[in-house]
Amino acid sequence: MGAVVQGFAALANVHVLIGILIGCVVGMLVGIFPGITATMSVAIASSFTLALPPQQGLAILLSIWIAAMYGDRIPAILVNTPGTPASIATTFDGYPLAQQGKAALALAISTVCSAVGAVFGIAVFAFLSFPLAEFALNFGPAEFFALVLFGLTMMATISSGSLVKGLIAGLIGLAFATVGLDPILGFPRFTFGVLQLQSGIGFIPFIIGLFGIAEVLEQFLTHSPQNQGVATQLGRWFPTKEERKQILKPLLIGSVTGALIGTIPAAGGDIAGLISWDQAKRLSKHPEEFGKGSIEGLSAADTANTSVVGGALTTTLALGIPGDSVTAIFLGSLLIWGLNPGPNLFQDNPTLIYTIVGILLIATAFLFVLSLIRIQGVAKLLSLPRPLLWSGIVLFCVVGTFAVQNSFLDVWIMLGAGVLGLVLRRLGFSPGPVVLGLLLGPLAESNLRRTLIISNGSFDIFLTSPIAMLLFAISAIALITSFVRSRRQRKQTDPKPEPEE
Amino acid sequence: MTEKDSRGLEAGKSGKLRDTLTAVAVIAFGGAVWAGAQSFPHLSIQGTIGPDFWPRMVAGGLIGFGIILLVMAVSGTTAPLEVDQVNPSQRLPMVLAFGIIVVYLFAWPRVGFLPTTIVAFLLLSRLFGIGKWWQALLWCMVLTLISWGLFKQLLGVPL
Repeated sequence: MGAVVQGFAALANVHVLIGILIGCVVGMLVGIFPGITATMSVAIASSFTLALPPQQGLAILLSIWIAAMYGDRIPAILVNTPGTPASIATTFDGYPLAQQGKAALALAISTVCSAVGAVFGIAVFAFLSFPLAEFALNFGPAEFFALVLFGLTMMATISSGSLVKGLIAGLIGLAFATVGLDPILGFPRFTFGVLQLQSGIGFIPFIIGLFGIAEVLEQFLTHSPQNQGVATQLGRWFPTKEERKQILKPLLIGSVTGALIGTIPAAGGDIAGLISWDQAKRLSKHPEEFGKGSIEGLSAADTANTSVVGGALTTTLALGIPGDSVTAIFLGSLLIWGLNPGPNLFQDNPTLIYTIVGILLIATAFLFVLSLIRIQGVAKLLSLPRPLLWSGIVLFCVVGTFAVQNSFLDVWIMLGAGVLGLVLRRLGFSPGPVVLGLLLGPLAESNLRRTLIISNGSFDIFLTSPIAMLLFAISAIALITSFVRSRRQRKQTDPKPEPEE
Repeated sequence: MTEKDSRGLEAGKSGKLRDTLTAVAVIAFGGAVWAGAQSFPHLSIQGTIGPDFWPRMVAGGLIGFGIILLVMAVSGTTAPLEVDQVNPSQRLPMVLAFGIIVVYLFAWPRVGFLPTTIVAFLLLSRLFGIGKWWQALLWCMVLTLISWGLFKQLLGVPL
């Protein structure tokens, strides 16, 4: 009980509250502008927040993340363009509703559903993370290695179009993670005599380049004029009694689906929204309305893509395995602050967990109010030219990276990662597994080597661990089903040859 | 063979070539990691677990999956790419944008943050497509002042 009180008492700090406010405003803007992803903005913000105490830094980062999930519905509904990938499913019914002159109704329903989803996810995090962390105390090096492998496999199978490319991307990240001092014996590897590289490739500079610079370069490379019009007829805000009834079932579906999917490494708001929309359609009495302005469809999608936040944080903090790219950045930031995510965090620093719960609840409440404010002016923001955003993002990437350690080497690493990110994207590789590989590489190596030292070099030790074998089995099943699914999809989409005349 | 068939065949060929070259690059990268790991001591405490062990495992994975990708590419069974089309007129500007950033990073520690940032981002803003010189200048001045104020004044970063 003391930890709960102390955790919430930390929120009485005015700097934490200001951090939440700043994070919410920045996150809303990030969500509103398509092309600026939550991952990019959290990556850039992480360089700013390193100088702050953990509570203030987390207040900013978490608020940006959850606010981006609110803001991204606006362009999805008004312009049929998801503000972040998490709002892809919102476009299915949000934009058709806007075209029917019900944009304000869609935004209001979306606000309520997002708030409910967020609170549900936060509750899952508050109640599930401690038991999960306690269970994880049973994990030894073998189990942690299996868990890391599971995380990398899930990321590779879920986030990439091609399974083989996803696995290669993960291995590229693992290869970069070998730069620096070997985690067991401290031997310098791939440092090329550069002293700064002994601490490894900087995580923050790398992700800023991979998600910030690469994104800008790709948008610039593929830029063409936008054709979608902005829906300007907002219509009424308040739903009728019948419409309010329609929201209830998809609200439940979205909450549970989102929280569950969030716990799976690599599965983020985009997947949660899509699966929830699909499930709601299956269980609806009017599935024919989905995709044409269904309130049920909109509700399910938007509830899931905020509920996912709590699920992802549960896995990240309790097990030390990131739920998606954004939580990977949180994990990196926590490590820099000297806080090690995983079971020990819950034993050594339980008040921080409740502080995080409090931050998320306050941010959700603030965003709920902010989102209900009439947003006619926001439609004008959506027509801001991209070139203005691009140059601003590049400058903040460069200066933000320099600010991490006042090092130009970091900035060069960022630029290199930006080029790598662009090349990987153009060749069909997802950057997510690369980030996960970079972050989890040292954990994977140290746990594997410790395991093998204990067993005197024998891999049979894994057979004696039921948890490790279960995780290996799930990883193998995920790989096989992903392979079979992609083969089936290829057979369905391969065009039949035309008959010769 | 119809024209439609020939266009499809061409697209397939370029995808095959791209994936083949990608696979070769991955194998080469894996080979480089393996070669680098050769120079690490093969120390052992109780088994054979030295600092070369993990890099060799990763390199082996890269080479192995690189070969799989190569086989798939040559047999034409790789998944088609789902990426936005490149606007051909943007290729050279993108290379120029990258070049401006590189020159900026060389110039900044030698000349100073403010003048280099203003010049570099004036050029970058124009390249990105901000219509007129005075608009680009105004925008880059605003950006530079905001970043100077935020990082130098507020956060104490020695720009």
